Amino acid sequence: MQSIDMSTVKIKMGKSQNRKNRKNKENLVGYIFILPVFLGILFFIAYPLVYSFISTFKSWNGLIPLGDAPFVKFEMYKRVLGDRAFWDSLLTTIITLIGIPIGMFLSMGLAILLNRGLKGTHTFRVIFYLPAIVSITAIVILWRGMLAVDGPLNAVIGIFGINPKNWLGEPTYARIALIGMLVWKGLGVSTLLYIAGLQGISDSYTEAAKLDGANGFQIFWKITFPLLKPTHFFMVVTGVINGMQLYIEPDLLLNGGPANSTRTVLIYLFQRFDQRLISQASVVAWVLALIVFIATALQFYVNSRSERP
Amino acid sequence: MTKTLNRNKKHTTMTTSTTIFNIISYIILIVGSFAMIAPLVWMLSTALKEDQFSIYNTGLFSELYFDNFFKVFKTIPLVEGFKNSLIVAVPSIVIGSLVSAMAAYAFAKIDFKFKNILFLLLLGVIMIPFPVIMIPQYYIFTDLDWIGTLLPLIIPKMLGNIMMIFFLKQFMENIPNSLIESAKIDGANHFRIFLSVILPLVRPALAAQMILWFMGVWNDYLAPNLFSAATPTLPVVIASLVSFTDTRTETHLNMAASIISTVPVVVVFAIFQRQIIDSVMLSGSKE
Repeated sequence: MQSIDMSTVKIKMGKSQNRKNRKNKENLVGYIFILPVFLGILFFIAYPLVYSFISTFKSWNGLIPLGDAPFVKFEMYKRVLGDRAFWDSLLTTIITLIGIPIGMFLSMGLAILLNRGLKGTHTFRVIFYLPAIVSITAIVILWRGMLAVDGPLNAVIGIFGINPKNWLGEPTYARIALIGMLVWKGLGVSTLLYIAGLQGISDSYTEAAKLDGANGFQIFWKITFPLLKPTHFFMVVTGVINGMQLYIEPDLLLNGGPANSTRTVLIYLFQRFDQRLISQASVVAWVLALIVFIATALQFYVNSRSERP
Repeated sequence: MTKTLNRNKKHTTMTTSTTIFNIISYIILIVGSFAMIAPLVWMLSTALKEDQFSIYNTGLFSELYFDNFFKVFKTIPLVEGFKNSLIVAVPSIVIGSLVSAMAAYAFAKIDFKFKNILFLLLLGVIMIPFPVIMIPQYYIFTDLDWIGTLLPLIIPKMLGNIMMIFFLKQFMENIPNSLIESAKIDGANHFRIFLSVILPLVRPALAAQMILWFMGVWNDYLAPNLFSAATPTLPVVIASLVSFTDTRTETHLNMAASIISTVPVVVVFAIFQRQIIDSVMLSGSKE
């Protein structure tokens, strides 16, 4: 009896030892699998993040090591936040966000039409998605030609009796042209997202409303539109995050002009960077990140509040 | 859809209103398609004009001067751009996808300490806007002597893509644990399981993600222009054609070059359009 007991104890001990070993091995394998990703984050994200944050409290031109640059406390923040051009660029960036509701309205309409099981639906999806696969640089070459004073856009609006506009030369029209290009390029992706949203809505809701005698318009406003809320939310959140970082399109299409009318925050940042005011450029980046973070948090807050009964 | 059809058979009044709505739908969709495609068609037509001064005062496809597509190879460093874009896109995406899939597997199926905290950390990392890190990255790459080479575009991508990790993790969580357990009983370790059980199972999802990533990298402009302008990728070559001072830019040749630069993504899209459209639709429903 005694010896049997001893042996079970030994087996138990051996098992738990074994399990511990296996657990350690499992830990190790897990870490090995994720190691490259976290090395990448450490070197190319975490380290630059700290570097960038420190540089905002220094006066650094990028030519000397950051450690040798003089510490100036909040001086660089004061300079950026005290510069009217910065606030103008922020306003310009916010103005371009008008493209978000326009794009949402158009893509939701298209999605509803493309979700009715009509023939040729897939072909239409492909057509609407086409501008999204073309690189932004090629799109800009195309639009600069389209928007020329004697270009095709003015020819088309001329058919409707509208006078030709100087799209690339007048501030207001330049902004309209920029927003138009952004909506045109983004329409395909947002339409697909709305189709996905519509497909997630159960038929039973609309069927029940129909039985209650609701017409198509009522069904849309009382049922479809509110049930698409996750998609609206996704579109607004990603739209604001990307829109606040708008850079390539206004830079390549209009070089931030005319008269700085399309100078977004990021164009302002790169102008500081080119002038070797590296600390100020970093301040702009952090202020922008803070604005994006607050805007996103606010949207999540509003979204979660409206979900409560 | 079949439900609608059945109902239509029963109620003839509904059929007429449905038909009218269908016709209106088609009219709107066709007008919309025209607005989406017209600029692209005009681009092709312009690229086929012999003289830049006839661009705006001759009709669509009034000239079919295909020589432009050969001429641009002499005047614009397109071949170099192609070569550089391929060097940036192919190795980094192949290795980066493998690395991402491994990390996704670890987060989905391996039990290790601090797993949840590390995953939350990844979530935090994607919230960091690129402008905040790009300036210090520029100076880190300067110290490494990487500026002007393609390394700043390749090496970080090889170390994984967080969005891809999220996507593949969700996909791998649906793979039953019993598959992994039985492979373990057969004596396979996690590396073996990953290579011979998991990878074949996630291949379609992985391929779709790789295609989308390829299209993104091929069209990327911001980082290539900032870090590697001296070894230009295709978008950087094309962007250099935009001039705000020179009014005599050869628009027709620029259009031809832009079209040539788009060929690889158009081919990829033509082959994989269904997978691409499905993955884009999926990307929104994750939230």
